[in-house]
Amino acid sequence: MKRELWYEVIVRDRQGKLVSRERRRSRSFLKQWNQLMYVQMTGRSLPGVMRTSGVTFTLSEDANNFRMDGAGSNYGIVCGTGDTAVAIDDYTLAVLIEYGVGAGLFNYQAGTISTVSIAGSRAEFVNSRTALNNSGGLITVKEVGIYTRAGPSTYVCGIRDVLETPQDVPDGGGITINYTLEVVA
Amino acid sequence: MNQKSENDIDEKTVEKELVPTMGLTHLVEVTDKDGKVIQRISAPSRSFVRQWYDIMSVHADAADRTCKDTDGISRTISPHEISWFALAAATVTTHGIRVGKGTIAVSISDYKLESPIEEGTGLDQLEHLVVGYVAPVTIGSTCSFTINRSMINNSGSTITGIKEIGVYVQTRRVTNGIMGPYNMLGFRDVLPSAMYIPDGGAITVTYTLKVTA
Repeated sequence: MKRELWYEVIVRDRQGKLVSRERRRSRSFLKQWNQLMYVQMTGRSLPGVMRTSGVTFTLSEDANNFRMDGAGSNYGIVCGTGDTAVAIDDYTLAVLIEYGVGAGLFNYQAGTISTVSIAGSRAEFVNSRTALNNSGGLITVKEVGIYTRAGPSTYVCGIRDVLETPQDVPDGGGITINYTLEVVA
Repeated sequence: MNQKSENDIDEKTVEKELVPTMGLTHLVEVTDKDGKVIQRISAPSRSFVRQWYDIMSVHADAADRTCKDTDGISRTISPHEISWFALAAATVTTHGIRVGKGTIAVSISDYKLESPIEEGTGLDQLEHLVVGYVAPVTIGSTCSFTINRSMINNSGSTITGIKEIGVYVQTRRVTNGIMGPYNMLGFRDVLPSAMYIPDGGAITVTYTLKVTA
């Protein structure tokens, strides 16, 4: 079995013209991802789970768990400017680019989730999101990840990747990140 | 920043990395009536099947989608606190870890074990104990947790040909009232060699789910 996670990063300028693209195998899922799966599979609460804010809480099974199509920067695919190496205990992006239109901010669009598709022995679905740069200046993205809901109003970082190549997103342009979760039987 | 044409982009596709970031492994042990281990198989699992990701996609954007249950019926499911639930009580076989005699290779579209062993003390039946678990632990760059289940052979004779293992998980639908639970195959493995369980003995299956940074 191969169970894999890929990310694709696409940058466009203000005219929508492709500037750069990078597709790479993701590394990695973080501790919080497995903690979410544990509480869902067992129905047992788990104390000491780290929010994206750095404050711990008790995680419980919940219909909101793993929701990752968010608006804003609380949950969904997010971008950052940090480049510290990924560690299993990461609970946030190193330097999150917050939602907004001011300097250093991204105008995150709503995320989309595809249905599961089957091709041969492969099953996959794609989580996509575009962030527009209306900040008035260039923003360099060095890291991407997925924040998921962990209860009605609690958020955890499930996935984080440091980009192989930092991506310059010009003012008026945008960056699209596609995370593909796939399994091959 | 330099502007580039469609034909002059920084495009990189990396098709290989060495370390899988998410893993699933299994340990299968058979003990005799005295508790002595007489057979053991430990291996990486293959594989999660599509229902696992069907449920994930439902939770990812809180949208109802269809998913095939262990009876082969397509069910509409919703995000719910009972999703991927595998912690079955003793004697319960609708969900939780199961074993069977099927030998057909795993397919991504499998929705049940090929030939699951039923609950009981009759011929070729096993008494299913409660599904156990060990909470996540982080060692080095890996975080893992386990679920496990023992099944006892009180059938009066040896059960031969145990060749497949897997996990059934529960989900629900909440639109138009709570419906279900529905039971879905989450993952299934065909063992490299058949196992036999002597009368009075037991088989214990432990699955480990891990992520590695």
